[in-house]
Amino acid sequence: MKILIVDDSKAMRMIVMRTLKKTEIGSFTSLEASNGKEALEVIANESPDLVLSDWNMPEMKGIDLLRKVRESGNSVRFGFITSESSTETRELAIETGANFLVTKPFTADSIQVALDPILS
Amino acid sequence: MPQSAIDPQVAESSGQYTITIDCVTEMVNDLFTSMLGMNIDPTPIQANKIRFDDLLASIQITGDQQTSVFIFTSVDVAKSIASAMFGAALDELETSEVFDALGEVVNVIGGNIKGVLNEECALSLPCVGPSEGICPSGVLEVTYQIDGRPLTVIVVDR
Repeated sequence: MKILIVDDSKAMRMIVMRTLKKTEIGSFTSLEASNGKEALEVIANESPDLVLSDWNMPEMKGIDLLRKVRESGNSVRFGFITSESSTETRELAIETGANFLVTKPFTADSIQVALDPILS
Repeated sequence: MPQSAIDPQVAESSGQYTITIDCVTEMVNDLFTSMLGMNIDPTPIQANKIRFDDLLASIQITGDQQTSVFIFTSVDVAKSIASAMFGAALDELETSEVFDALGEVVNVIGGNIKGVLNEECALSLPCVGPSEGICPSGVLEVTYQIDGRPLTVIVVDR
């Protein structure tokens, strides 16, 4: 499985990757992008199976990335991992086509719970 | 003028969306223990005197309410945080990685505070650099010990 991790913080990309290894998703290949624009290129070139994106990033925010992805007809599984935890944010994410939203700080368990329904 | 959403004297049990010391303590504790596996004493300690060479990380929440969140800590604590985030030895870390790590701390705390505010608002990108003696006066100031060393969170509401 190819997983694209999108976050402007290299530190957070590392933590997400490390946390994914503690879940039960099995082996995966990780891809990285530091904003939505970069992520669009990676999605076009690498066709990941799952995108895990931050919300608040320079160049292109996570929600705009998701809009572009869905507008292009791509139904890749897409989740947000973000410190943005308001109800409005969660509703907007789901309305736009996200599969889930995990709030930072997160644990392997909270990511596993979010991934279970879409990877089973 | 909107009523302040930050009042260290008001308990969350009032049902209002209010940022309290307890609320911030829970956010900080969750971040450091659950996600980073670091040793934090969640009991607030006497305010730390900000030193000129401390690092300052800040983030703004803009909307009806203008709120800023500042985090001050020493370079050593910031390096420990970066080491935990990157899984790297202290002497392998680059300055940009230390700044990145502290920026992510204020980003998570700021995002969590934004989620508690009962209003439409936006979160800026984090900014990190030397404090150079800057010390804003906040409505909420609280200092914790991370691995026995101080980290101060200041929330400014205007």
